[in-house]
Amino acid sequence: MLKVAGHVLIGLLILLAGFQYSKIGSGSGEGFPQRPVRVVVPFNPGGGTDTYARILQKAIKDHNLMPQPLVIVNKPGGGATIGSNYVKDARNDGYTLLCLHEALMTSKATGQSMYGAEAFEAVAATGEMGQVVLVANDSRFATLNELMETAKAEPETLKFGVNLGTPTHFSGIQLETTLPGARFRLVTTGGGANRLAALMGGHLDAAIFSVGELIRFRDNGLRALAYLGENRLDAIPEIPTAKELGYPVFSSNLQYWWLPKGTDPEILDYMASVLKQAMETDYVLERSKELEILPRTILGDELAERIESKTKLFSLMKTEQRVDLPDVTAWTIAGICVFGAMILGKFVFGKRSASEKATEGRMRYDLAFGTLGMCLVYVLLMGLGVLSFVWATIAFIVASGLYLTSCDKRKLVYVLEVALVMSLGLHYVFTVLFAIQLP
Amino acid sequence: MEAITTASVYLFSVQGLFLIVIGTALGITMGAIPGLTGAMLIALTLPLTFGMDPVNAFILLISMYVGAVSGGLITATLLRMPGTPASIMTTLDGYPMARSGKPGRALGLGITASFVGGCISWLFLISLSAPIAKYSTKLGPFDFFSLVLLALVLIASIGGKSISRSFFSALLGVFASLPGIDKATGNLRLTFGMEELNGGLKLLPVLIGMFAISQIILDLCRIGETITVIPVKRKREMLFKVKDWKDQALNLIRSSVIGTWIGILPGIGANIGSVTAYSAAKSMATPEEKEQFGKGSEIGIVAAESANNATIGGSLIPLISLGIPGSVIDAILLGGLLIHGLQPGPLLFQQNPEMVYTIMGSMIVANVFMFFFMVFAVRYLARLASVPRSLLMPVILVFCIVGSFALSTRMFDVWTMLFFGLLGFAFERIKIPLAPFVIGFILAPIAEENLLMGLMASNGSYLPIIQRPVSLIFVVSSIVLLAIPLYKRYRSR
Repeated sequence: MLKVAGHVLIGLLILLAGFQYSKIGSGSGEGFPQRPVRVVVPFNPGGGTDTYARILQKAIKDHNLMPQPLVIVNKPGGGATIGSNYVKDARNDGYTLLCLHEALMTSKATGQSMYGAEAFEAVAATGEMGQVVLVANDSRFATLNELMETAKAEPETLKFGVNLGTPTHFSGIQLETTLPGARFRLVTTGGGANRLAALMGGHLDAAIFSVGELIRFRDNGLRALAYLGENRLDAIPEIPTAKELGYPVFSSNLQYWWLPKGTDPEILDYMASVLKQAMETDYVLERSKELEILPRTILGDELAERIESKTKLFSLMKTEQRVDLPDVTAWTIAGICVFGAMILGKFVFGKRSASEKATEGRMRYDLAFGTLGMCLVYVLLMGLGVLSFVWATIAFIVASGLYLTSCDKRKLVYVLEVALVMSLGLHYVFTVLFAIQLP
Repeated sequence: MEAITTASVYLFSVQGLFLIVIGTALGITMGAIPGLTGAMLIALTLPLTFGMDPVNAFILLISMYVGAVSGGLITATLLRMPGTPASIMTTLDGYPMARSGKPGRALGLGITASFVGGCISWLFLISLSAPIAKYSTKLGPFDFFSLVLLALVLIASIGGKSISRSFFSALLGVFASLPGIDKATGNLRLTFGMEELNGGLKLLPVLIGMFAISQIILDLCRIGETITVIPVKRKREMLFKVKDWKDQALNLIRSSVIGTWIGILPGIGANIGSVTAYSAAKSMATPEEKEQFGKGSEIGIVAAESANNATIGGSLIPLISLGIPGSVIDAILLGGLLIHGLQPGPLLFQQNPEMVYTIMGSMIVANVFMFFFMVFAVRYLARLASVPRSLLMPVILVFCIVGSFALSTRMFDVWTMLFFGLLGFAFERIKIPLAPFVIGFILAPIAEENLLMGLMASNGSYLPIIQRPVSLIFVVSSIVLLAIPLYKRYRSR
């Protein structure tokens, strides 16, 4: 009785999942966009870019600015080059967007990637984030002036925290160039939280942060020396700009929206107008204020001009290494060779015990590698796009289940049930509940 | 205070309690099935939590951690198969006691000891984390570098049987962490022209491959083995009586403190905690009690099980206060925190206090739930060991593939996972331990980043490594730890 009930329950679940599954992919209309537009964010969920992209996504959805939703896809890693590379090579049909700030330009300047802004069509730049120079509360530097003069008097002694190869690195170098002779000891510190810990612990003399970080970290005992913008910021009116103090550094960053090269200009204009409208909604204005981001939108010629001038600025800067650093790769390989040789020596000259050989005989390598072989075919089929996730999974579970049970007919029902529950169920959980795409 | 309130609201909401129940039950279940480990469960669950609120995600993951370390004792006692590596010591005494007609008693001792171990280490967790986090801003990059060095030496000299094999494994792990962007120059290294490697090898595919796929291959090799379970009948004999509390009090406290301390040490976790506490209990026992060890000693079961659960609280301390994982599972949790945009370490207490209190709160609530769930469900859980592998293994394979793919929706990660699965299987066959590989893989970037940061700040001088007192302590401890086994071997020749 229980068994029958179990089968019925599983059957119902499969029906439900199948019903949900059939709903995906429906929906049609005229013109662009006919299906959801994917926005690739080349960072982890929860980061600055991700947060901002999601704010705009919500505004577009809530105000019905587009007939189809934006879907955020996170492709983190490689200093954002994994995500940018993905969009660069995507089809230029307008359905794949990249949301990435000026790291796209800096990564070309530092040699992290072979391409920069020229490999994309720029749609718009939205939301300006300012940068500030910070010191710890008990720092001996009261003003930016003192900091810069010390950097000149004792070059390469002041420890200045940046994140190598990112816009903060360039701001640090830019600051040096405003006072000939001034040199910092640039120290890479990773992300904002690490930099803050290093500054508070006295391991750095000064560091560059974004305004948003300043607001969040302000209560932890930090002092801002200067704001690297054109005019003083409303949120922090007491902090002078570097320009007022005689060090004209303007360093701000915006979230740019890019489409693959060769995208239809009409689609470009359409997306630009959607983003512009989204930027003007109350929700975006309100959230921008919370995050200390200026709700600025740059489009068209102004955008092209900014990209050109920034690319030029970054390419002129020298980001050479200033300290001799160890070759970690070589040391690791050397260590592997030493210990590998030791093990090999023991293996050749040592003896194997009898009990080891005894367990050897009972191992069913054929089953393990047979199943693994099926698994490889399964992944290959999905990877090449021959079969969709649902069909490939059903086929794989049925095939391997039958193989492992040696085609036991009594277990066939279970195998089929497991196959259907897994394929449809996982597809439902991932695509509908968690909005993660499957192959 | 406000953060504690927020964390309690999350924890004691319907959703929070539901996640704790699900997480703990799943953890115990996975722990109870030999061949499926907690590390595997947590690594596979992580991609599913991307869409969740980080606080809820961690309620789930911590509950799984507590459940997984506890669940292993069931199969260890009833089948002599440790459900997870953490329960290896329990097989020594739990199984003989169960065989001699007292399976309920053996399980009861283990369950209560697990519960007490978890509670005692929780007290350490809540009292030590904040002071350590506060102090840790004073630690400079070189101090962190030496700490990671100590972790690698610890896992190699204490964790494995052969130091050279452990170091070989750890260094291969370090090597696997190198591809991607060179932190010193910002240039790409070791990517061999593959653009997918620009971001380096991702933690999850490597971990799922190393721990799940290699284990599946091993399990499939042994699919024919038959399993007999000792049935458990009465529930009543599972609970501690007043006399038990009196007899075991000292043992419970000693083993839990040892477990917590082993947990705090970076790199080594539950299995080593229970081995250490077991041998300590054995060496401090009276001759008559010593006689019982290995034949069904109550002291032995209590020592092993309280210590392995105590490592949970211990290993969470360096994770949340320093951002250095105390064990393999904590390393996955570290990855999880980063994926959710949270940087564990000194600032987590200031930036996301609700997260800190959630981790602490879910550990104790899950611990309580674990106790009741185990007492009531243990009889049924034992049967899990006989779930047909032929159905289970393909399902887990699909989970592994989907989990790796979902991380950043690309097939490359799936291939990475399969590759490391085969590598892990090969490691197992030629007796190279897996844990040092994973610890090396996870800690190397932290060590490298701190070394580079330190060198850039000291203008290229290595001297601060031995000039800074904290760093010096770590370096000296590492040298001593390395020297002791070498000296012993020299003496024995």
